[in-house]
Amino acid sequence: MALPALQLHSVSHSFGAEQILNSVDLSVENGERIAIVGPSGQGKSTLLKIMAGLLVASRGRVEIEGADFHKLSHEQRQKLRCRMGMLFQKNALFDSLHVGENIAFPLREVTKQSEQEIETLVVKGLESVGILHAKDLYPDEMSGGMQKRLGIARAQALNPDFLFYDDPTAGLDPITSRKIIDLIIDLQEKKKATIVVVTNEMARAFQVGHRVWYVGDREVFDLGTPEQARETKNPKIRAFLRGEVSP
Amino acid sequence: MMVAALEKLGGGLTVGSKAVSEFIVLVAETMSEMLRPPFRWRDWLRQLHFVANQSLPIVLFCVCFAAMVTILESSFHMKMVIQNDSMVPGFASMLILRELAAVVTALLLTSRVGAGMTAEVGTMKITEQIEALQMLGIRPVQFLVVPRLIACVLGATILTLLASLVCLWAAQLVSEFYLGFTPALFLTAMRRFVSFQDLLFAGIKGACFGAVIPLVSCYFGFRCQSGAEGVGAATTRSVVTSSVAIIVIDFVLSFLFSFTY
Repeated sequence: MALPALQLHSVSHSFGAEQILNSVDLSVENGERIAIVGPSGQGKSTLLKIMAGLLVASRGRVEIEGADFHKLSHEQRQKLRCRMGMLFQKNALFDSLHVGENIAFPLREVTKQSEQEIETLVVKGLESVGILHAKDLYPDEMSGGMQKRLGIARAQALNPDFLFYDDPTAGLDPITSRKIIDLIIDLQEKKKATIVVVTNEMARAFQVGHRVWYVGDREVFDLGTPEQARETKNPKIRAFLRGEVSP
Repeated sequence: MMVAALEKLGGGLTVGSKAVSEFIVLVAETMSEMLRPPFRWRDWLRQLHFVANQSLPIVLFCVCFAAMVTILESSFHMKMVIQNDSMVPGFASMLILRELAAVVTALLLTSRVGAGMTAEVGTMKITEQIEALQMLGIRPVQFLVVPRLIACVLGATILTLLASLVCLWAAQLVSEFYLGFTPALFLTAMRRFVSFQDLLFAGIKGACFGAVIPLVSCYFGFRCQSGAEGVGAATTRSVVTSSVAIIVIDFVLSFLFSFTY
């Protein structure tokens, strides 16, 4: 039996005295798409960063394909990192580099490809997200939607097996949000990557997720498929998913 | 009231000791990352250009005026106290080489280069660019601190040495045209008070100050809080801490060097 792509074992996390997550045990299968929802400030991004290895959980461990991420050697971790991509909430684009260089940067840093090969991949990457025309612009000169697309293209640059998206539709209009999620799904289906998406939009969560997780009150609930999530018996979660004031 | 004051003092000491230990960790990490590949020559050179080339005009301009003020003030006070300013070129040269050039250069670099570094690293921190680097397996200290440290140590040393020479030249010009010392007289008086060792010590001071600026700047950049206010506060703290550190290190080095004179 294949190992889960990602497993959380009794993961707890605190910032100072404030506990954010308490003993989370969950797993993600290979090629699966997980949508994480929940009220603001409840630890969705924290959970995502713990899964991506950017934050070390206060307790518990994160296993990626059966290996404890933080116990790997530097070289092994580096190797694994090259198989991960992330779109950050604020996009985290390198504002001193223009669009093309933002995509080329990970390729130059991590791979040993020639400049010509990198240029080809940059063009391909920008084409895949539909912003090739903006190749020579700086991130600040682009709209929010284009910046998200650039962020996605950069996260995909190394053709990763694991992709983490932190609120990819934040601040976007409903049409652009839908297009961004369509793009994420389309790219995921081509590569069969394992993806985890944090979002505050229920419609987008149900659109993208094979499974939906709810983060709230320091716990993470696996609500199952979008259909199962809609039928959840937990009144608080049901109210949240429906956008109602919780009872 | 007493208890509250003691609690405040205790809290301050705890925060202070934590900050010092975090700074020491950053210094140790930077030292170990300097020896680990990849060696980013291009980044080093780009930073050196920013630190040395782009700071050169402002540093030379300012130290010239500082040197001129020094020689004028020395002359004024010597004439007032001992009615003779024949030793002014010697004293002024000694002051310029041992203190003025290195300290003024370092303080100027703190405000020009250090503030810029904190703002840049701080902005990268709050816009998650540092985490984006980590996601690519790039070690932020190696990518951000090491090139700046190397550039600052080299740049500050070179600038201090250049500033020393330009200071002496400015002092000589003032002493010739305003105080009436011929260049030969100035050089003779200077040789009696200063030696090559003073220039060497100026270079050492420059290197030490050059190391302090990027380490302190990046330290505050890495701990920057979100928002424009956070970047502003981090930059202010960085400039103040670097300036104070430079003054204190100057005292320590001057004290140590005094055993060799």
